[in-house]
Amino acid sequence: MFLTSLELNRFRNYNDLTIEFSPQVNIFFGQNAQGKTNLLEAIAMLSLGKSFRTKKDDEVIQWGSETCFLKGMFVGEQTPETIEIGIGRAEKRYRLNHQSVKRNDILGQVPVVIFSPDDLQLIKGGPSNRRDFLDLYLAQIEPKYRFVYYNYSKVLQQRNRLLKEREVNLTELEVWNEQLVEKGAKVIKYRLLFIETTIPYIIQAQQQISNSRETLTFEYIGFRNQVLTNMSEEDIKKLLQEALITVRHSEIERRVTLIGPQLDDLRISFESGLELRIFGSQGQQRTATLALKMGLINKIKETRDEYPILLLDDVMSEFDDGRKRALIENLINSVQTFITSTSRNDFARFAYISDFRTCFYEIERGALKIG
Amino acid sequence: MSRLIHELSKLPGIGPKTAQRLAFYILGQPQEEISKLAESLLEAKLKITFCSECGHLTESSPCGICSRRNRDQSLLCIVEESKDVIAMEKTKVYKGLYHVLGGAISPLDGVGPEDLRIKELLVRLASNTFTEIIIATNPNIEGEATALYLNKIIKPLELKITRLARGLPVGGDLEYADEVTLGKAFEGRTEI
Repeated sequence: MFLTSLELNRFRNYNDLTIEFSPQVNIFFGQNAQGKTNLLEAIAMLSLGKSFRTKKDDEVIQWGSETCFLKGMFVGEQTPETIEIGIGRAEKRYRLNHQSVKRNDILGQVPVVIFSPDDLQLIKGGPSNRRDFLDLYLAQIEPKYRFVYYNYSKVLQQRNRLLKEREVNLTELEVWNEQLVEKGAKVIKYRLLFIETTIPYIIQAQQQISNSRETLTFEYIGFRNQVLTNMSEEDIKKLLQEALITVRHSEIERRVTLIGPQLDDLRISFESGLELRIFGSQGQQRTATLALKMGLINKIKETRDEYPILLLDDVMSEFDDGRKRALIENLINSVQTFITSTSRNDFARFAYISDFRTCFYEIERGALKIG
Repeated sequence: MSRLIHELSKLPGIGPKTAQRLAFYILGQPQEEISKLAESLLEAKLKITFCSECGHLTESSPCGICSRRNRDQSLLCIVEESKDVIAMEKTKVYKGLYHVLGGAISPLDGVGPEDLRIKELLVRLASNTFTEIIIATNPNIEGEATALYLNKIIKPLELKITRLARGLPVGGDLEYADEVTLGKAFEGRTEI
């Protein structure tokens, strides 16, 4: 799948923009704060239905305007697709091939994999970074997961609200417990299956980048640091039921749900068992983030039979030449890639990049020069 | 005029634009038409109450369904709202009685079991000879929680409890069914 053209109206610092892209490498270069990342944000938004930079989607509306509009034309293995998004202060509208649809119908149509300077947080940051990572890519690969996750989060909200009541009706709590266990087990099952089937790709990428010097292990961590391996949904339900019993009193005391997939983690360690988050060097952590994303790209290719779109937000400066080479050699010839950088020359050093159909765009204050 | 628009826009599904259009339409009508509308609004509000038995909307309590002798007195169907009774009646398949809960359990909306007509339900179950209780709450999270709750409190009475089947709509195409519905239909398949 690749993006052939992009149209933006009153999006961030782009007043009215139409660009056409190369199916291979597209490089946005220019000074800082000119709007390079805004273009990646727009492309990601067409795929995910929301921004990857902010939780408040109306921040992307140009200052002084009330609405903005994005349109992308994609060509894939099957038919061309048009995705349009209109954003107002209070609502968003989505259209797929000129038909009005919901956000969930857009998500996963055109998978994207994003590399950004914040990726290091995936390794170094708290568990929520890794859960968001799992959920974002699971939703792109498994359309059903969105529904499963949405149902679970509704149950969780209801249950948390009930726990906040002055007097908790215990029979009612039991009902929400049953729902929490049932819907929660589904979420965990999807995640376990995803981890199990994606890890081989990540490890392969990891070994390519580091020339097999180091191997990583990935474990899904549930309630009280228990490692969950790919087990049946019934077994997960049993675990959740037992966990619920152990936290029963503290939940009522603290008035919030204390178990469930919203608290789980993905632990990444060296073979020795030491956690990468704590014991890994900066370089090892960078390699791991790169491997995670590259593994995902191959996993998406395997499940969907087409490559995702690759967005590289100012990451070239973060990687040393070895990692850059790994990335470029492995991906860029088959994946449509969008790269932001402050200098055009960043890429010239990689002579092989000129073999690809590369388009350069110079960005200056929301205007664009093909160069 | 602005007061009329304001009042109309309080109705569900009516935004300010529609309210304005309705207001202009009403003004364009002859006086007698408007009197009829106003009277019917008031009359409906004054005359319609809740059935003391099942909780359905009615002009006289007990309602037409509860007081009709030819309904099957051994079946009780529990629904969330009066509009669900109307939907069920349209099917002409069900001949038993109803019990309207007046909503579904939803802590986020401040609705707990004590806000639903569950006490009344238990009284009815104790004083009648139902052989089957059909739970027909909506197939969403809140409806499901309500069904589980009802199941918990009715179970000790050792009555047969059933739930409406979930699955494919009649006249639809398999390929257009969403995955969840299709999955449920598969789970609930029946022998022919």
